[in-house]
Amino acid sequence: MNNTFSFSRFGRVLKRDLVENRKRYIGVFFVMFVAFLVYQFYEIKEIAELGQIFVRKNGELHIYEKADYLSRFVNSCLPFFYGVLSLALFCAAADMSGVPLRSKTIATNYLMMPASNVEKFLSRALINTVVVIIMTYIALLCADLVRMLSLSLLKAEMTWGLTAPRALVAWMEPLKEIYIDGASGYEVVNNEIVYPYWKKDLAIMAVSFVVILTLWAHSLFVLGGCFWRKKAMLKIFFVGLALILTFAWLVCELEPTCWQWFNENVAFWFETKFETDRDFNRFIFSIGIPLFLGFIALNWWLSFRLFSRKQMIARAPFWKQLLNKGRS
Amino acid sequence: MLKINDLAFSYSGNGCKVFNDFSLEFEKGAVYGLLGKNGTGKSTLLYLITGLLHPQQGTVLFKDEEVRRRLPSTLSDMYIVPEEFELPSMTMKQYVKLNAPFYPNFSEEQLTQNLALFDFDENIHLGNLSMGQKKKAYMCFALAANTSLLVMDEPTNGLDIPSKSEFRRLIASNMTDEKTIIISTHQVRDIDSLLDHIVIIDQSSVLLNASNADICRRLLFTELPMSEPTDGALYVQPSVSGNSAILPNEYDEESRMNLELLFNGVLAEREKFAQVFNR
Repeated sequence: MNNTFSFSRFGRVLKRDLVENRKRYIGVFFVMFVAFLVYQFYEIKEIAELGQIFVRKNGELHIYEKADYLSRFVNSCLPFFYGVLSLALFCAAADMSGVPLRSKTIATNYLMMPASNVEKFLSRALINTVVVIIMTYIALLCADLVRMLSLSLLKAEMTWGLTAPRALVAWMEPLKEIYIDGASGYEVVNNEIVYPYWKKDLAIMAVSFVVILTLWAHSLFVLGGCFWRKKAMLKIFFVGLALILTFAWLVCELEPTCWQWFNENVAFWFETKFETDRDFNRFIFSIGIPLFLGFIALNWWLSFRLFSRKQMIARAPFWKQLLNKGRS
Repeated sequence: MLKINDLAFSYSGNGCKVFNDFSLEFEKGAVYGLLGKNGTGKSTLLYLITGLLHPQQGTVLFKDEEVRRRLPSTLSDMYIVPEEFELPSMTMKQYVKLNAPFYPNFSEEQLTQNLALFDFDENIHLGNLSMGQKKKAYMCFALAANTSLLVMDEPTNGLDIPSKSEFRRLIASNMTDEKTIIISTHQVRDIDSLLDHIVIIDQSSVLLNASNADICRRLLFTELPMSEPTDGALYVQPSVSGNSAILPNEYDEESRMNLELLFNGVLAEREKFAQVFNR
């Protein structure tokens, strides 16, 4: 018998995982759906309460009607907010890694399932990435549909078409220079539009870092899900918050000395270099992306080590679990 | 078939070792009764045997493969029916469809026969069953999986009186020379007629490890009237008609093993019984 990986056995593990935990996945889907729905109606309420909007442009005051503002909001802002919310939900849902091990009785069933640790972990990984992405987008689509239908039925003034597909298109085109056009990042030289190279670099870097930071945050939630059997999402969130607050406190404490020096020297030098030296940008880019890819790989590797050393009850602290000589 | 070598195990936060330098072997083709008082580590031993817990020292080998590795080849040839378990909310048919393919020797025909013994069929919904019924359904599946090793922790807990006798029939009808069944229990009366081999453990030590035939060859189980002296007895326990006694079987007499008496005797008179079995 193949004890490492078999596609047919992997398929069976995945099927069993999906069927046996279907109620939990439906629950997660429902939470996502409600989050999107609440957000949409909150935005509608905010816009509905607005009157005329005054915008100063080239020293002149322009009046935007509510409909215009709404159109701008729906076409440019909403896909962005949907993106942020989707990424947050995508990350948070990754804490489901430890679902089949959350109690002694459930863990017994799962650990005794005749499949290798690689197959079981890959099945969880697939659910935490591909399935969760699909779930997130369907939740968004459903919330969008409910909003559109309910407002159409009520013949409300604030009805607009489906935003989810538009958002999907907007997310798919980040590397086209829409950011540069939209952000007036061009300069006119001899009646020709010229894009300063650093603006373009910045756009590419920003998008790449958003993607990579999301994947990194996601991998942290996967790691947390493998470590904590219960309420993993809350624990990861609070640990993250505690780390950020500790860092912020340290920064405040250091400000009179190190932080000020850093701001005046390093940060300024970095900023100047960034705007003038294209090779430097590329260097930062070529270091930063592999570095974060390494962090992501490390989190997944640690997750696998924790996952494959799980016992029916939690018996050892984090470091001992990692050093445990159990085989994969 | 199953070898436990120099096992050491303790739960975290509890300095006291459940097992220390513990060794034991199980052969194929027998129903083992794993007996011991509450808290002596019977369930822990079963979890270690199936790789659900990892020992701090020592090894548990099943068919020469370490169980803590949880290899598919090992897991597909062993099954555990724990004392407490959860079944998904679905019909037995769906459960079989999802889980049976993992067990190469699974027999649907056997499952149908097993279920019929408890007046069940494959259309029962596992989510609607009582705990006792769930246990019966789970045991039916476990036996139909036809694994070489079947481990059961307190299998008769939660079963009503008729079900206990059906359980004995179920085990007997599914037993083959290729299988080993280990039943851990403190309700010895429920299973005494089933067992081929008795293992009594107490805090890290094996107090008794002998087959039924060996026990009956060395010990004589008898009922003595109150008036009869019990001087030569290894263990005596008052009974309704006088005294229940275990004597050394010096003249190869035949007697029916009284498991409860044996269990109490071995716990109370360790040295005496050890001498008889080490002879």
